[in-house]
Amino acid sequence: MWDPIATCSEDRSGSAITNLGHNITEDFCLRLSSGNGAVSVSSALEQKDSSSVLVVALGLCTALISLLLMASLSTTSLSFKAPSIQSTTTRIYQVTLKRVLRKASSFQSISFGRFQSSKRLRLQISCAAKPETVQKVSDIVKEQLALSADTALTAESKFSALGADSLDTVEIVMALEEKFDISVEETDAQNITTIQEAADLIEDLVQKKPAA
Amino acid sequence: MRISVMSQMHRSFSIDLPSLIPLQLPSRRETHLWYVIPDEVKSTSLLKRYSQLLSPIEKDGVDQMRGDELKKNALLARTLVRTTIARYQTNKEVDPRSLMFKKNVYGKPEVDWQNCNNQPLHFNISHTDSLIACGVTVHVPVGIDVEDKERKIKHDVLAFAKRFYSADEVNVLATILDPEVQRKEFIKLWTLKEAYVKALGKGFSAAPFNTFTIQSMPGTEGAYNLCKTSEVTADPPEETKKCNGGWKFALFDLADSHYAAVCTEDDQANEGAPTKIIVRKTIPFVEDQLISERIFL
Repeated sequence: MWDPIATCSEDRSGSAITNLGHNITEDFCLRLSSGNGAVSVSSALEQKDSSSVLVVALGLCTALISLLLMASLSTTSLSFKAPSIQSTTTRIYQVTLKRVLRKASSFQSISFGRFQSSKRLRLQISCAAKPETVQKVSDIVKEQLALSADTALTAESKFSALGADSLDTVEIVMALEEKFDISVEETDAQNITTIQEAADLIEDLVQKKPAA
Repeated sequence: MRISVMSQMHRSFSIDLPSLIPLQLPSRRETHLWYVIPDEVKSTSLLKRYSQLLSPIEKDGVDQMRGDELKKNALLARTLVRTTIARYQTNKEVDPRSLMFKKNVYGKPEVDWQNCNNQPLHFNISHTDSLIACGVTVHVPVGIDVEDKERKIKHDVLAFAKRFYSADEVNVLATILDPEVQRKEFIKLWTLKEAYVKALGKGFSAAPFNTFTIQSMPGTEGAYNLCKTSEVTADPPEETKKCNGGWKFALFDLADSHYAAVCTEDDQANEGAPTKIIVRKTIPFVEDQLISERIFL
C-alpha cells in the first residue's frame, strides 16, 4: 500500500529532500515516521485554486507537526496529499517543504510515497521538470564543457562545480534556447546554477509559449 | 628531549612554511595583478600545505569541484587570494588563515576586516583552466577577467554578439572580416565587459551586457572607454550615449596565452589620470617574478 517514490533521511541540519524527479500524476502523500507504527492523518481539502490549496495544506501540515512535536508522541506519522500544481510553483513548494521538514527534525525518516486510495478527494503534486528535459540539458552541458560522455551528471550538478565560467553559462543558455525554441531573459540566464534550475526554467518557458 | 621538540615543530604551522614576504600597498593610481599557472605547481606537499590555509567553507568549495584539476585550481585560487592579501598588511605579519571573507549584498566576494575598519584594500579574482589571477587596488573597487586567447566559441560569434552585446559593439565586430580576428576581438570585449560588471560589484542584472559599450580609445593601445546607452523618452525617442563614465579600463596580454582586462573606478580627485598596472607571476610561499609595469592612459 505504501509505495515510496523518494525518500530522504534526516541529515545534520534536519532537512534533506531527495530529487523528486518522477512525473507524478497520481495522489501522493507526505509521511513522516519515527519508530514503528504509523498514525495517518489525512487532510481532505477541496479547493479550486491549486496554489492556495498548497499553502493551506502545508500550513496545516506545519501546524500538525508542531503539535506533534510539542506533544512528544513516540510514534508519529502524518500523511497528506497535495494538489496538482504547475511546475512554476513547485519551487515554492520545495522551499516551503524544506522549512516544514526542518521542523520535523526529530523524525527519523521522511518519505514521499503513494497511497492507493482513490475514494477521498485529494490534492496532487506534480514535481519538477521532466526527466527527459533534465537529460537534454545534461547533454548540452556535457557538450559545452567538453566533459566525457560517461561523466555522471545529476539534476543537482552545479555548473560551477563542473568548471563552467560565465561565458560557458551564457553559451549553454544559447544552446538551450536553440534546442527548445525559447527565449531566456539575461537576468534569468545568469541565475541558473544547476541542471535542475535550467530544466525548470525551460519547462516554465515552454509552457508559457503562445500556442503555435 | 629532542623528540618532543620535533613533535612541537610538526604541530606548529608557522615553522612548516616560510613566512610570507610582505608587500608594499599599491598606490592610488596602481593595480597590482598577480597570477599563478597551475601547471607550474606540482608539488603535492606544497598543495597540501595550501589546503591548510583554507577555511572549512572554502575546503567544501574545493571538494565540490568535479575532477582533480578543477579541485587543484579552486585550491590555488583561494590560496592566491589569502596569501596575496596577507602580504599587503605591512604593519604586522598576518596569518593568511586568519583572513575572513564575506560577500556583499550582490554576491561579490570581499575581505571581512572584522574590527579593523577602513582598510583600503580591494581585490578581485578570475580564473581559467590554465591561469588564475588576482587584482589588488587601494581605495577603488577593481574587477578583472582573464580568458584563454584560444578559447573557441561554440556559437557563431556575430550571432552571440547580437544576442548579448550592445549594438555599437556588434557593428565593430561586423566590420572584421577575418573570423579568427573577429573571435579574438569578441573575447577581448568579453573580458572588458566582465571586468566592468565585476568592478561594479552589483551582479549582472545591474549592468546587462547590452546596455553598455566598451570601445577602444583611438590612438592608444589597450586603453578603452565605457559608454552607457540610455534611452531618453522624447518624441522621437533618442538614445544618448554617455562616455567616460568614471571607469578606467586596460586590456593586455598575459603569459602569452591569455587576455587580461582590468577595470577600476576612476578616482574622482584624479579623474582621467593614467593608471599603472604591475603584473607579477607567483607561486605562493615559493617565488615571485615581476613580469611588467605598464601605464595605460
